[in-house]
Amino acid sequence: MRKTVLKVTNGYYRYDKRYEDYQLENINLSLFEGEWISLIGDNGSGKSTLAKVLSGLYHLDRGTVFLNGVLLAEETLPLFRKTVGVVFQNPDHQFIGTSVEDDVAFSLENQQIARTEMKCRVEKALRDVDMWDLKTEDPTSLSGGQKQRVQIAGLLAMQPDVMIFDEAFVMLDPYSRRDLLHLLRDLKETYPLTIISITHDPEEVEHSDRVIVMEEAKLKDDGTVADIYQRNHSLAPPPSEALHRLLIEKNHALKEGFMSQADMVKHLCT
Amino acid sequence: MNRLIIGRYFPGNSLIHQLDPRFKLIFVLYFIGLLFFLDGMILQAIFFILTLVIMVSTGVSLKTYVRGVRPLIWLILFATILRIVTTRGGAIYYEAGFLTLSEFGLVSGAYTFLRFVEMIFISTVLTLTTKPIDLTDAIYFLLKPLRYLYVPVEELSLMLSIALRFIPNLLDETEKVMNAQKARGMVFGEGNLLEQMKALTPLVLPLFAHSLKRAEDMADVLEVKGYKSGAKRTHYRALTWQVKDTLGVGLLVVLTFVVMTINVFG
Repeated sequence: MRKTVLKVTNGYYRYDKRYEDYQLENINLSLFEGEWISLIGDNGSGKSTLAKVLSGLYHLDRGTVFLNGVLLAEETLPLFRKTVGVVFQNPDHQFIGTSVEDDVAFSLENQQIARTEMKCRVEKALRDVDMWDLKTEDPTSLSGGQKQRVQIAGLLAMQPDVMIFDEAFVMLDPYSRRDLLHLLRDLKETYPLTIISITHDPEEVEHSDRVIVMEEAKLKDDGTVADIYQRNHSLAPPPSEALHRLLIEKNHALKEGFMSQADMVKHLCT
Repeated sequence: MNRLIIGRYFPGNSLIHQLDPRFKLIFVLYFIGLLFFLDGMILQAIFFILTLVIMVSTGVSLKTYVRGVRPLIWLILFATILRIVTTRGGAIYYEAGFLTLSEFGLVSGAYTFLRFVEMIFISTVLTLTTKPIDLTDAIYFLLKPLRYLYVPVEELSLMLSIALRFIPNLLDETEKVMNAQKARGMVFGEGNLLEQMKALTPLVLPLFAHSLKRAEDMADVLEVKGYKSGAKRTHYRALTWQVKDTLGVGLLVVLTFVVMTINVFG
């Protein structure tokens, strides 16, 4: 039995409390330890709102959020801050420190970690993301990919259980994006992390263990990458599956169902 | 444009660079204070030479310092001339009503000029050799006692450091918006004053809008990173007070003593 990290039951949320217009409706969700979850859906489907609820920035109008079995409330919020880290979309809006190491240390300072331990943790986190050599750099002199690496280091230093990426890779070029995805993959092997990634990028979705589709404030579908793309033909598929569909269309004898990148490579090279 | 930093910090490894920013800040404030107690030629000379020695030892070219004086030159000249014409004593060369051109007037005018220039030079030394963030930490340290008067020193210093951190971003953005407006046919820096001010509206509005959006994002970041105003925090950066800094304080004591002795007996 896998350990449940985050659990939402009967979640309702609306921005404007004057109207009965919900941005999240009847959300029931359990996220397990060590999962990489992609949260997809159209603009305005509520995925960012859900991410903000999961990170404790927004509080549900109705329903409950549990983190490792603890109910999210005013008193337990500090626990959330320690166990859930978030990287947002715009890398330029997230730097608080005037240097790379300062920025990584910021959340540790808030947790009142002693200076000697802080030094260790900052160094380890920056080495994990391969940014230690640039520790004294001014954030403005970094590339987009490097900036997001520093943000990831900032989360790692906190040693969280959950990392939420709120369209964190959208503003990057494809190379940096791929780079970061591989980095996350490696980190997930080393640490027992649960990753929640909000994304539009089918390639990124393919990296995940589980996909959650949102539509008009509700959960529409939930399953493995293969399941989701088989069931939802309107979603833009990852490159390998797109090719698979194209080949079927052109009357190539291929089996139905989802083809991952590995499957496709195997098929083409044998 | 990208690397422009307020106060124009010059990276270096001179003795002055290595000094503790707290000491440097205290030294500069105290030194400027002492400048107002200089009587007579000897003291003026000592302080002028001392200022020059400090400036040269930073390894930054003197031109940079002179450039620092330039924007204030009219103010300095105004103060100097006012001093010259309102002081009378010694031989009088020219007189017109209450305005005079006298021996004493010229001397004290020269001293006034020197004092202003030395003040600017010595504070330029501080900003050229100290990273803005270290200066923020030093200010924080010096203001710390105000916490007992419920002044939110911690919050102020964080605000200051975030503001410093965003200056390069803001400059970048200004340039971007300017270019975007230029591409749409906007002309900056032409026409009379009113027209020029009007031309700034399409520049300032997007900048404001964007800054607000960023402030909102920043608030989210501060919150998820566990920042709580008023809560206790530990500090990653630490300033280290070295023997040199103590020696520097010794220099201040000696200077005070010299000034007092010469003023009393000289």
